[in-house]
Amino acid sequence: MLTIAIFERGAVGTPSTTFVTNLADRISSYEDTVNATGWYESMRCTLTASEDEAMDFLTSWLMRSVIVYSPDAVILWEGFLEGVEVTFGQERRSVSLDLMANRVRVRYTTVNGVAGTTSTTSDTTSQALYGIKDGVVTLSTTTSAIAANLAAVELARRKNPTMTPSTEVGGAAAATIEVSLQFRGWYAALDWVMLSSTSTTLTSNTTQAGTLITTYNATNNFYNSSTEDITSLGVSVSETVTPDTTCLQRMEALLCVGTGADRFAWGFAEGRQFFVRTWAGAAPTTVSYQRGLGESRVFDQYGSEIPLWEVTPDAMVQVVELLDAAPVTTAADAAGRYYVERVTRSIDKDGARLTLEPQATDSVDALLARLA
Amino acid sequence: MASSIWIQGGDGVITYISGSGASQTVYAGSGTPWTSQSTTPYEIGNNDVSGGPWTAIAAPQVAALSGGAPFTIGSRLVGSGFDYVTEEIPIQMRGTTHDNCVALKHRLWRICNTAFGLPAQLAYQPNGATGVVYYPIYAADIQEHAYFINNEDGRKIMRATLRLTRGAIGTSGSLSTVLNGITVTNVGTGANNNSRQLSALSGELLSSHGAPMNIKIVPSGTGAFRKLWMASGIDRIYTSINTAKTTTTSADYVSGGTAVQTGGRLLYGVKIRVVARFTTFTNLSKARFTCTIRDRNGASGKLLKTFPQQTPLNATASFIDFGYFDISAYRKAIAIEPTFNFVFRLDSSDGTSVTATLDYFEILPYYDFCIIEEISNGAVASEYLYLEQAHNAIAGGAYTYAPRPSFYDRRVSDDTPIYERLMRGRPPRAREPNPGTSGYLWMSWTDTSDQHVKTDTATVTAQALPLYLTLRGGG
Repeated sequence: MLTIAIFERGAVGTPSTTFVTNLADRISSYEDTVNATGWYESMRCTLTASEDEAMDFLTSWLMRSVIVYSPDAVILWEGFLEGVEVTFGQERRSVSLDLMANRVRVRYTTVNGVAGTTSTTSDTTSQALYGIKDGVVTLSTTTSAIAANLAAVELARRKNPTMTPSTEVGGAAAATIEVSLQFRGWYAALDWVMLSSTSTTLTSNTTQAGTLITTYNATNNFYNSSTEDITSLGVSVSETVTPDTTCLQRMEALLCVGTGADRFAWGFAEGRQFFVRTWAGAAPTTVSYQRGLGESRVFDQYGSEIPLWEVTPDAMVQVVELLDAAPVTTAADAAGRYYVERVTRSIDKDGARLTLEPQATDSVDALLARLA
Repeated sequence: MASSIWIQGGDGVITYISGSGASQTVYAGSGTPWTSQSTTPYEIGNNDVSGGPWTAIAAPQVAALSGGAPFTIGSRLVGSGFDYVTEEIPIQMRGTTHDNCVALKHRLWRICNTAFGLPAQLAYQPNGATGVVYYPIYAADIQEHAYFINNEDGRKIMRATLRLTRGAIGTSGSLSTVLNGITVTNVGTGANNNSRQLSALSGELLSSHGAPMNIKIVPSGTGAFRKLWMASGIDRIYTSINTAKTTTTSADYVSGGTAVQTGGRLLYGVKIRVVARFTTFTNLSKARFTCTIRDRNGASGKLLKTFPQQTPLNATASFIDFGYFDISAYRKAIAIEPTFNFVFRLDSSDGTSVTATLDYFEILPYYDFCIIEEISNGAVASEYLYLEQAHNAIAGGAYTYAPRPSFYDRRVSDDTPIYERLMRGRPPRAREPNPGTSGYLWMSWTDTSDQHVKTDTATVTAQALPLYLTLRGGG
């Protein structure tokens, strides 16, 4: 069925090509999400393991990278392992990179209202394993010395992945050891590094997007630096970046203005190469996917079947029987068709399922995925 | 002869649970009488007291259905598979004492429950049958009948139910060679080319799921592998183009109409893969390729599919896998030869002049397709490549299908596994596109410089493991 290829984490968290294992024959469930902004968003798979295996997952697996392939060797999803949760009967252990910060500084103000920032303090051991992940703490009415102390304390508290145990005693104890692996798309790692700029030069937002990736790679060499798939269409925006802005926040601020007329779709696709393109909703009559009410299958516009796990967002979908009498030709969303902003693809023993979400989705899952 | 039913333990020891004589041997507490059918103290309990006559249960096929009421009449089959089988075998065992009967029961439980180590196999050859069917045993329970300590107390015969959880599909226990040390040349045409028909196949499931294959690939001469593509299906279509293009924007290589299958309706389950060989590059790093498929009306025909852009890796000769094309929309109720036009485009990524020659392309109608990457077989003479989809955990023991296919390097001198390679897609299985007609195995590879060398060769041996649901007969 699928190939879920796990690769060893390289030095400073850089994804490597050292193949570890294929999890496909172990998992009992699989679910991933792909978003028109960011592309590969989240992936979760569960499996039953022995005690020794479960301990290995908890202690050695974080920051390993994954590439998921279809039965036809098409790349379906790509990302890194952010969290592991294991249930040992009534004991639960989870470890995550989510709250980790191994390069910390404190932004403070003195009693006189003078603003200052400590120099960064780092834990090189953590950085060597996972890459650099910034954290900022604010403190008011203090001194630079106290702020520096706080930076050291905060680093000591957050430099390692967070382990969260829990115990529940009583009732029927489960007999199996269940492992849940939570992966994030590489786009999420843009949130790890902060930057700032005082330049007021006006530069194309798409050009700045490419430059931002190069800047990021100088800290964490996670991405393909090619800008080949970044459209040249864009608008000029200021290069100014307020301090403590993460690269992800900056990227979204750059690209949310689109071409000035149409929005963009963007993200890290195959090979961790960044793309920016005009969204498919700009040409809403060009339908990529179609399905019938009586079908649990998806077809392209020519009638060829698309496996559910290969359906991607930034596309127009049409339900064949739902004919709009006179849809506005420029309207992306109509009764019979709509723009797919986000897809959720899941596979378990009950079969494969696909959820398509429209633009401006307010689904809880989508909001949580972006906040995580 | 009587039916032969035995369990091959994880240690290789055979335990017969069906006798051959009119009377059953009584276990006296020593020796290994169970290793011979004529002396085994175990016996299938085909009587009213022990239980009804037993035959292996055919694993029910689990069908995945799509659609249905209230939108359509009936559903559509979109997939199928088999789950494990749990069945009960009535059995009885005789000992000279109560304790010896219990010892037989203990022993039977131990040899059946070895799945965490080397799994045991249930072997089944009915009276008059030529072949034996083997099933892997994953778990077993033995429940003695209450008669043993009540009504038949003192008779020293334990009647019991052996409940096995076993694999859904049985195997012949041995591999059948379907390609025997053939020479495969890394090119889509000519003698010993890269698409070869398998020998006659046996077993069930050939037309639906195929039979697992082990494939040994020994590179010859300097033919070291960096990337290997393999597929199973019907014979591919090879088209020579041999045309060079130079462009600073884009330029098309246009094929004539290509029939992707001849002689009848498109086979169910077959998809089309498009691969091509490009040579003689200038400014390799700026060259990009795409492929579009159009209808039979030529280069201006209706656009049916556009493949994602691909990047070549070697300036002398690059092999590009564009991806697959689902042709289910063209599988109509009438017999037609679907014909498409394949248009290959050379693009310059940034306006730099690029040149490339399209040497040839191949259209693969396939069932299974896989890609194995980062193969480095070191000193060519010392290692070979091995796809394993069937294995025997015990030396000389029966083969069973591997839970997870794997591809790895092996040492020539002693077949020692070196390390496993990443394999993506679905490894080729032996198929019969039509009953009695064997399918093909196709392969292509690039060397450690990512170059596709048409004169590279490899010696290939493929062995299939016949599968059966229950009875094998003479197959």
